[in-house]
Amino acid sequence: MAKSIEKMTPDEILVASKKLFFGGFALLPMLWVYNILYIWPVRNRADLSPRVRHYVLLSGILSVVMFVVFSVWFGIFVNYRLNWGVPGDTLTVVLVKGV
Amino acid sequence: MLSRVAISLAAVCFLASAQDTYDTIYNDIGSLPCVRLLNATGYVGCQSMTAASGVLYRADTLEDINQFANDGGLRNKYTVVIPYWLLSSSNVDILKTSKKLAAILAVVNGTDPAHAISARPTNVISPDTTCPNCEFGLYANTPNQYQWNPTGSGLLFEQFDFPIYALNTMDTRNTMSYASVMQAANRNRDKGYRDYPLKSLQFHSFMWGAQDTGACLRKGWCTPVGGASVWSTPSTNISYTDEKPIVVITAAMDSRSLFHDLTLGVESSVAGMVTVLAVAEALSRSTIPLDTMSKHIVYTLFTGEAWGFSGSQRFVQDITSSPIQCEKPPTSGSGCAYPFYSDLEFQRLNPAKIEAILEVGQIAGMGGAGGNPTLYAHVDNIQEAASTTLLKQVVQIGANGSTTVPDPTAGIPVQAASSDDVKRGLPPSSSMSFLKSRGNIPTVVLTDFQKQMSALTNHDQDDSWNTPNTFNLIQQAASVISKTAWLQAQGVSDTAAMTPAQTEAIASIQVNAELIQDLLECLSLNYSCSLVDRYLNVTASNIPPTRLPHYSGTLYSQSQPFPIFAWSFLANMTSVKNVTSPTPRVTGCSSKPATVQCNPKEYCVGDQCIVSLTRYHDAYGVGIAMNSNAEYYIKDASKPVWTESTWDPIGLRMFDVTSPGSQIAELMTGLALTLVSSGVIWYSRRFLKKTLKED
Repeated sequence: MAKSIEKMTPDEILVASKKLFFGGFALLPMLWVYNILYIWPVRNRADLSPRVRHYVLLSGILSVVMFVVFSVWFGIFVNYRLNWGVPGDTLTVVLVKGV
Repeated sequence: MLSRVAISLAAVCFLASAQDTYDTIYNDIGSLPCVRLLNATGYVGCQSMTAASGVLYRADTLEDINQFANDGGLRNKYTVVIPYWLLSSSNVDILKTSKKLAAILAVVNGTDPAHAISARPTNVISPDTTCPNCEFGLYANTPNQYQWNPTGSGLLFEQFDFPIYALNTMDTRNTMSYASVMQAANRNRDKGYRDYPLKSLQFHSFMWGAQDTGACLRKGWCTPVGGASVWSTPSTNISYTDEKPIVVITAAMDSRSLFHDLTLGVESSVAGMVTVLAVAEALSRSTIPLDTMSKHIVYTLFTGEAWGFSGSQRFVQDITSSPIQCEKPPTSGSGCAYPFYSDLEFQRLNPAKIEAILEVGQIAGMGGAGGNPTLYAHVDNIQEAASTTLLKQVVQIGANGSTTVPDPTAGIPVQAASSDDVKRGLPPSSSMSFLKSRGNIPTVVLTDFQKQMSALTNHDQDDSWNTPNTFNLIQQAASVISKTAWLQAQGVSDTAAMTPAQTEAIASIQVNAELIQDLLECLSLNYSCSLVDRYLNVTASNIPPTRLPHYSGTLYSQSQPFPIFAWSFLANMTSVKNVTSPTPRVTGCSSKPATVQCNPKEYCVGDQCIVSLTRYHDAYGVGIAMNSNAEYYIKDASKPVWTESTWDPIGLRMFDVTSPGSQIAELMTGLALTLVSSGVIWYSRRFLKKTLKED
């Protein structure tokens, strides 16, 4: 059972934040959002390494970037997938009848 | 003990089956739907993504429709029952903008005085476009094409995202459906549409296909529209290289309308088909045998003509691309597996040798401007010099008809369509497919109109004929065409140039008036008649078919009654007659068990073994082709590529609904009960916990 964040030592917090940050690059952008949410309760602790703040900040920036990328892709896909012919069908995977 | 009683009660309730419960709630109604069809650029017809249900509302006139739209007291969604002739674009818009429309039921023919045939307005509007199929016709690339159907509303090409169904009292089942629906609608009306519970109708009309034919074929959600064309010739030894010219006699076998189960098209196609069959019968009695003449006669009846002339275009495409290299022979029967052909005998026809085309178009004299019935002969106006002689001969024979035998058709004049000095060209017709390939073939199209097509073109109400006029028109047309073809086949272009033997023999070309009446009746209203029964044993089936739709259907998906009958009839008429030793034909080949086996080259038609060159030919959009995996794909999107969407089971059912107010009250009561019972449980748990803890 994982320890609650309030009971972790500054080193453990640093290791957790680092894992979450680098893990996000393995095509798991949600981990960047988790990074922010996880570290949020202890962000102002005095004994925290300044590197934790950097990881959380970068995670925040990357989350916003990915949100914009996904939103733009969603808009393009939903509106143009019917015009793409065969590639559009392959990307859609499960074809909905009647549309 | 208590649990045993409970279990047995539950078992009894389960056995009082689910079907009985269904029957107490729902009443299934027979359905005649409008479906979705797709072409190269999009789709037409009706689609309903979810099951649409609406309270039955009866609207008999335009005032009723407006009253419905403006009535603020109606809170539900409604299924509006209107007479078929009120189904127009503007009325549908009124209904849609009222935001109260769930679905439309259009009554084509009913017993209620508002829906009866006598209530039909005299001015009919054709639902087809102002120039049907002209984008695939001969004049498609000429500017300012002549519009042959100027009053056409284009309703057939609109898209509806709600269900539209038809009601028609043409047989027992449909009459019962009509009676149920009208009874329910009348009860609703008597209650002022406000006194709940009211009768409601739910439609299941989900079409799979979307976008256009290309996307839909790729996903396998639609099938090409088409069927089987029939061609036949008395010259059983015709070959590609015999250097003998060909005279073609042609007509369309199918038509279309908004409701495919109701499509008849007496004016649009049936009368023309009857004419060609009568011509074949008259010519079969020629005292000069047809296969000894200097030219071949070929009869062609095309299916799929209503869909961009699919049948005739494919036929012309196939005969002009002989010889066919068959890469994969068929597993059984004739034809070729890849490239796919059901039958390969068409390769014996040489298109370069076609020297005359005689076509019968709309000939029933219905839905026109009125006036005395007249036949008009149309010719192409681009290469009109090619058809001058043929046109003169047709008009000449039409005039001479009155001097030979006294008969009632003597009163029907045959005129050139350009007799008013306006050269309109050919109306939309199958001959255009031949002329697109070679424009200088002499061609005459006979119709009952001069300036514009019938207002009943492709209309659901094109289901009747006028007793003296229609028969006389068909008989005169058949007489003119048979005599013209007979003379043309002997190389005679001018009646004055006939030899004495021919002058005597031409009197033997008599069109059988009774046959015309039988054919018209059998092919439109009663398929189980004695004429059809002679060829196809129809009266023996459990439910003898009466009125069959003339919609061509989808390719290879169903048996095609009219092509099958046309094949049998033409095979009999063009069969080889042994003139030297006229032994009677061997009969008994169709009885079960067969008393006689026909030779391998013979067919069993009408219980006789005959030799005939009569074949089917695939008819579907020339823009569609089949690949080596037996899948359809679009080869040429600029040609007709009509397909019909696959659909989930279509259904119509009737049930009672309560008012929206009481439904909301039910919901609130349920929520309140849920909250109260949750509260009771929560508090009693706390209370019990406390009391038990104290113990």
